[in-house]
Amino acid sequence: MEAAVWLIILPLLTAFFIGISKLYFKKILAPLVTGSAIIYLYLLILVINHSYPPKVYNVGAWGLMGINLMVDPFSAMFLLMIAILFLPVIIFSVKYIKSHKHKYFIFTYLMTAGIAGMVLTADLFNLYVFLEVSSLSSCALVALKNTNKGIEGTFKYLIMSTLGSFFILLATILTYSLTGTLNMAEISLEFKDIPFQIKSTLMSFFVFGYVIKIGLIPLHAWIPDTYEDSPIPYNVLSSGLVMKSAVYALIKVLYIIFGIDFLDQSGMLHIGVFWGVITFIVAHLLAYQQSNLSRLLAYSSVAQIAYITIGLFVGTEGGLIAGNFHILNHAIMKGTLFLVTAIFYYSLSAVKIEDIKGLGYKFPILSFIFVVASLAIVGLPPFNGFISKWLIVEAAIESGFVYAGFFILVGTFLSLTYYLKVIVTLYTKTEKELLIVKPTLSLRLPTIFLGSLCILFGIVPSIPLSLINKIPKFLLDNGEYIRILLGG
Amino acid sequence: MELAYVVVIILLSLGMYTIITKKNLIKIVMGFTILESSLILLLILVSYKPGGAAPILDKPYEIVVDPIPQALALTAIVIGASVTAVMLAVVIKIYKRYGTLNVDELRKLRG
Amino acid sequence: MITPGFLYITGAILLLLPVNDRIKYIISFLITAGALIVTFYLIPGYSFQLDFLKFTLVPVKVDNASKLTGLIFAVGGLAAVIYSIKLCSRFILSLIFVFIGSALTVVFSGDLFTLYVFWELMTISSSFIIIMASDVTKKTGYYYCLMQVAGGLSVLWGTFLQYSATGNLSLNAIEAGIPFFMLAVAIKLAFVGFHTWLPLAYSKAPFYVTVVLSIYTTKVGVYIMSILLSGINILAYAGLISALFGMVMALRQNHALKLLSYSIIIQVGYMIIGISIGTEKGIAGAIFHLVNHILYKTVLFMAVGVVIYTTGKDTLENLGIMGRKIPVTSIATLVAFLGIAGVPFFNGYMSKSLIKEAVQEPLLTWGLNLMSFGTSLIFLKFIYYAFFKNSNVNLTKKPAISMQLGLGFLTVLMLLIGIHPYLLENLMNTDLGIHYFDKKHMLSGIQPFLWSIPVFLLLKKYVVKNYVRLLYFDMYRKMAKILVTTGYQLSNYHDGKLHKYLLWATSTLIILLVLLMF
Repeated sequence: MEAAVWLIILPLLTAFFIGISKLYFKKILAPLVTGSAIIYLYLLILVINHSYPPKVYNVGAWGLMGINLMVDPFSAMFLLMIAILFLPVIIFSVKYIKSHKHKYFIFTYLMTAGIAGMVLTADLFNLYVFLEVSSLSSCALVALKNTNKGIEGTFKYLIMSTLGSFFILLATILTYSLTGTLNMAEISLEFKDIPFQIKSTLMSFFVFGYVIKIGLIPLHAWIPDTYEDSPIPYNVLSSGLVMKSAVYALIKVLYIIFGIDFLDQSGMLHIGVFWGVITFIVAHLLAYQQSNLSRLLAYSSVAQIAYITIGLFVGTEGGLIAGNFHILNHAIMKGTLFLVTAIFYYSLSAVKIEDIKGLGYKFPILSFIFVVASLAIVGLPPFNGFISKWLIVEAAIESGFVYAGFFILVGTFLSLTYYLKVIVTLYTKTEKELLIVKPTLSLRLPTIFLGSLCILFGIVPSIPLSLINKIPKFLLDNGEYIRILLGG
Repeated sequence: MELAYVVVIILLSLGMYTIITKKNLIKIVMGFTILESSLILLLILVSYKPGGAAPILDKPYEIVVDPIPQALALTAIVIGASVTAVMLAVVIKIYKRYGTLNVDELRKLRG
Repeated sequence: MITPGFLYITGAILLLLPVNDRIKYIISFLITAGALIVTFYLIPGYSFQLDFLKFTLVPVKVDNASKLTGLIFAVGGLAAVIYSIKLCSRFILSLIFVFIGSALTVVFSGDLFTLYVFWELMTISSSFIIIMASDVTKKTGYYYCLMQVAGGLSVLWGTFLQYSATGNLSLNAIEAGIPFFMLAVAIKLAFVGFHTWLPLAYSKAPFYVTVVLSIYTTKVGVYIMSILLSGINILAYAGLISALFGMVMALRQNHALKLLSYSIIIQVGYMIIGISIGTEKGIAGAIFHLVNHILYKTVLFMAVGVVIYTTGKDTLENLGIMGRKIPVTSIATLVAFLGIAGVPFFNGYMSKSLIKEAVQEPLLTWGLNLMSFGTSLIFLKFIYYAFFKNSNVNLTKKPAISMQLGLGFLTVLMLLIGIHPYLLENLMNTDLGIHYFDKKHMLSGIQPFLWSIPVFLLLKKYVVKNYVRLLYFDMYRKMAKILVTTGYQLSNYHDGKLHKYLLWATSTLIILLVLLMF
């Protein structure tokens, strides 16, 4: 069963062929990228279907010495997210991106290869390499519009993200020198004898490195900067996949290598929850101040990631399910919001919130979808964000973080203040003549697809939850994971 | 041996110091390069065994240094080089657009 | 299983389809009438269970009180939809259907989860009705939505506390949850201090929206209060204070919609008192008063709506049109006036007597008398402008037939209940053993009304007077300002300096190291 390997190879190959097609056959770009994305979707579904019980793939028949790929429910959930987001974004971008089209697709495919690699690998150093692949191509995508703000954002992103990667690499090397292996399962076994202090130092390096990429306050400053003037379909992938893959790596490292008991002893769980609470309150307050729509959505992403952090750091089964469900939901909701924003930008170069005044009457369906997605992200019923927030609060209260639960509700209220502001602007009539380029079907269809998922997962949450419910088994009990990885 | 670790720490602090205090974009990039080299040195030190031979097993040696960190070091160098290249490319773009290399003047994005 | 709420929401989806006006009328009528019939045939004791996530939800649970409330909601829905069908667009109508449907589902909900979901759905749909209905209501809708969501979130928090303490979602409030449920209900009921949204939203929104909102928003709060918070005696005094506040404010208004909005606060005061007494009579009285209040207040709002529709404004002067040009509206207004004033043989009388009967403490009895007196006084002012003061306002257009139809339907119901008050007891399957038309009740019922007439005549120049608008202090806007200022300052810290960001990062690393190592 080689499909898992192809998940990494196919986007790399596609990126290569896009480069070639630029030189020789410029016409085939659209069929090439969509065709590849469709095959990719098929591969993803194939791998997701075989994710339970977890499977290990040895690349190059080197046994444990070689590179191991592992598909467990946790990575399957991320693959599902790629499956949901990737094809719509590619179809959307074919029409949307006008300049540097080839570069855009090359970097998007490279980025996806990096993310797929991060999600699949069971090796600490490979995790770092794939992380670098995805974040470097993501940096390049930010700069693609070639505007002052875009370049400045790229630089800030690059500096912060490289600082993060540096600490991740440092922690990886130190781990290797302590344990003599890079395989997560073996590290985890070796770690049982390492003194507490050393382990917690290592952990703080890991946490710091990944949190820069996740963007909790006060390490968040680069996120709105990168979102402000980058190609908007990229923002969908960035908030949906790039930031989330860092969350994935962090959780994998913490839960598999260090184990839940150590997290509890060292107080990391408390730090995580508290950090999350601070982050979303500040991020909501900041988001209210924004006049640029992408920036507003960026701050909202920071806040949503904080909810996810709370869910994942609560440290119980319910918390992990809730956090993972919110990861999926946030990718869908934020994707929808960004795609609608992108259409507004495409149709009349709307950047600021006041630019979208009156569009509610020009684009009734798209605006309706925008409203649905923003209510979902605020966490109002009956949309998907509500279900996952409910689960997060429930898990937080269950394990004693009552304050976190309470503040999540306060945060819901705060987030309503700015989303409602945008919605009200959307439905305010304006005197101005609007010159509108009509969005084509290939722009509208992906948006409507993601928007309808918001409603579907809100009313029938059991569809994604049937996969997500299997996740905690392998994270909370790392013995199970280790056994499968070593035994495979 | 210990001295080498001290060098790693010195390089690391030097890099961090450069990144945090210097205003010039090129110097910030240099700071990252210093950080990168401190890590590569660390990687080599991790694998080092006194008296070990290079891990090319053409004949049975008594002590061989650990080959994995060396492979890692190669990868780290490649990644470091590409990161530096991207950074410098961005710096060039910034210089073309802003006409300055002072990081404090990159303040179009705020709020 | 078809429930009325489900019917309405199906109707809302049907209305989203691009249909022409004829079909729109047909769908609306079928759905509203169908919901009324379905509600009528619901059997008390019926309940329906559903598994969702790991909870067992009870989306439908019928008992006597909820059936009566549901019936009056369905009646109100029928009348309000008929009334407004000509005036509002298809999309607004669809939102109104969602609103009514969720209100009905809240009434029949059997667990806190369903309750919260549809409570919030009511908020969302009503906010969007307000936001979309006209150009001048955007800010009002924003304010309304935030207030209501704050209430909804406190329901949610109460629910969480309840769930974590007991492990189930059944509809009864435990100790820890009570303050939060109270807060939620207080906002929904426009309790004094939390009332700011009500006059604002009801006076700014187009009148057909106000008609729909006034039927459900506060009444759902009353119904939920009767389930979750009945029998907390201290709240009776709070209700009294709220009502007296409403009275004073209502007397000062020059606009009919504002006057009616504040009078809602008074009438809700009766219901709070009834529920807080907690006896069978008290709660039944409150529910009956809810029914009666929906009837006459809706009629009054509809009548004012007709005035706005025909003359363009809702100042009290414009009410003068009633005496002369629009007979159906005038009769309906008179009936509603006598009902709200508590005159025997009109509908408000029976529930007021019931609440008065349930109240034991002299202070509260006096308070109730004062409230009745105040209500009569306010509506004498209303009637004075409508029928006795000379006015020279002219009709600009005729009221639509559909509006008069909705109005007439409710008026007939009012008269029916007024003459035969046992109707409601029969519908609720209770026998409270009270003789509405004996001497004692008649006397105590008519007294405040009779007193109010000479007082009105004596103090006419104070009552009938254009008061300056009070610039009242709004705590919530002040709080919002503080939050926004904090956000502004935080935002100013992000001044684009990379070094600052790097410094934040390094200090985070140090803090993290310190926290984790020690």
